[in-house]
Amino acid sequence: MNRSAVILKSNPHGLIIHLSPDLPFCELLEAVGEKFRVSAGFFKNARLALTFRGRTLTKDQEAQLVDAIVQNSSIEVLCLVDESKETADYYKKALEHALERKREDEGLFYRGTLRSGQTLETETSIVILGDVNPGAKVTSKGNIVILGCCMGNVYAGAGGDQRCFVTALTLKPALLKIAGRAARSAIVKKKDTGEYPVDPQIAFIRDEQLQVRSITNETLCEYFA
Amino acid sequence: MSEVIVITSGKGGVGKTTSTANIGAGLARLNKKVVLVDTDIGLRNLDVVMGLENRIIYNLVVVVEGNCRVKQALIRDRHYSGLYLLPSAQTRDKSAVAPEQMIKLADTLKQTFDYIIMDCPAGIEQGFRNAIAAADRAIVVTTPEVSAIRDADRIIGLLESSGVRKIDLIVNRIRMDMVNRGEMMSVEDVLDILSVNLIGAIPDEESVVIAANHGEPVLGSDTSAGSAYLNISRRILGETVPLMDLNEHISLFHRIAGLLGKK
Repeated sequence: MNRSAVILKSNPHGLIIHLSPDLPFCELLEAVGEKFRVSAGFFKNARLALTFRGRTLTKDQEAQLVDAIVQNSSIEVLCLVDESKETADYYKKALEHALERKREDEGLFYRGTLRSGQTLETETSIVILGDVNPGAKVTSKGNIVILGCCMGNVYAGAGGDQRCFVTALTLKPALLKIAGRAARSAIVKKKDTGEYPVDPQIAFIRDEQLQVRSITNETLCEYFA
Repeated sequence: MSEVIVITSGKGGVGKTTSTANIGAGLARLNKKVVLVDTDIGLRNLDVVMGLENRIIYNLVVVVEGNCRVKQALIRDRHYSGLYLLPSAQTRDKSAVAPEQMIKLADTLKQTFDYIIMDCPAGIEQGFRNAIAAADRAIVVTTPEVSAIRDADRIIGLLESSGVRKIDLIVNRIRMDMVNRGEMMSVEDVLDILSVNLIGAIPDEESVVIAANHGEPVLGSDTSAGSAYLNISRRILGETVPLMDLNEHISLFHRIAGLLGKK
């Protein structure tokens, strides 16, 4: 097989694939598959933006090439970038935009209680089935949902997304941050029993301010507004 | 099949050593062969609580460094023939032993004993790492105070991430009169925060301090702390023993005072 049929070049945010202009498409497709099969270990689970260069492709052909890449490696192709716009800056933006979209529809589950000194950081939204104890820290670029008592530090929208929210069955965090805005729980003079009532609450940003409300239909309407 | 149990707490002064001595005595009373290993190198005191301080010749560090046989360093308890102590060194520090050496030591001890109980030092540094290295299960001791519970929470997290799967909790120094007045966290409140399995609750009693000062286990005496420790030993063996009602041992006067204080 012609070695120079497919050449890979990378930039910090994506991959440029040089395709031989002369090869018939089906052979080219095979060459691309082969190339990525060999380098699958190198790319691992990378998330990339791609550009094809060196020949004009129809939409259909593009799709076939991306399929060949995805099937032969564990790369996740987030978006395709047109050759004309392929400055590093544009790549970065395209990638971030694609990741952003992904973050909104993706989420992770954590089963168990986060204890003092433990930290949990996620690129996507996170649902915690357990408590977040004092001294524990949760950082998420998306939303944080705690099906338990939240008494530690939580930071939602760590990427700067102001639409992110934090909810917990009992929301008494030591520190709560959403997209750079911070709040602490009011210091309630409680008896030494350390008990908090269950009162599901949601924290979100409205009018540039961090709001913490009990979850009711009205609050949710306000959040969605 | 022998088991290595580490008794730990994070915070100091909550009763790890006392619990170790009494649980050891309890298991020995139930006809098990038990060795207590004091891993608090440099601050040795399990021997004092057991009243064996003047019998120490060799110690943990000497054994681990291979300068004496394990058998030579073991001291038999004065009360129970199945109970032995491997004392720690007073003149060295925690760095004298490495986790791998503790695992090797535990493997040697497993050939002779049913239960190897490690008395862990306070803190989460080298001493803690050594003590938990060989542990199959852990018993975390805490008191119903916010500081002790915070440390216990951290310790449980560290134990989980170190792969110790079985973790039980002892809530020590419960004062039911204060709990009834709402001035102290109850066992349930503590469990709510820590969400681990409770293996026993020990009432705060003078008898515990007195027995420790005499170098004797409180277990076996006619006190509720003594029977609470025996119950814990039974539960370690897998028996189902109901939790005792700590209120039973409070005088009528205190109960009324507690009720009045609540209002």
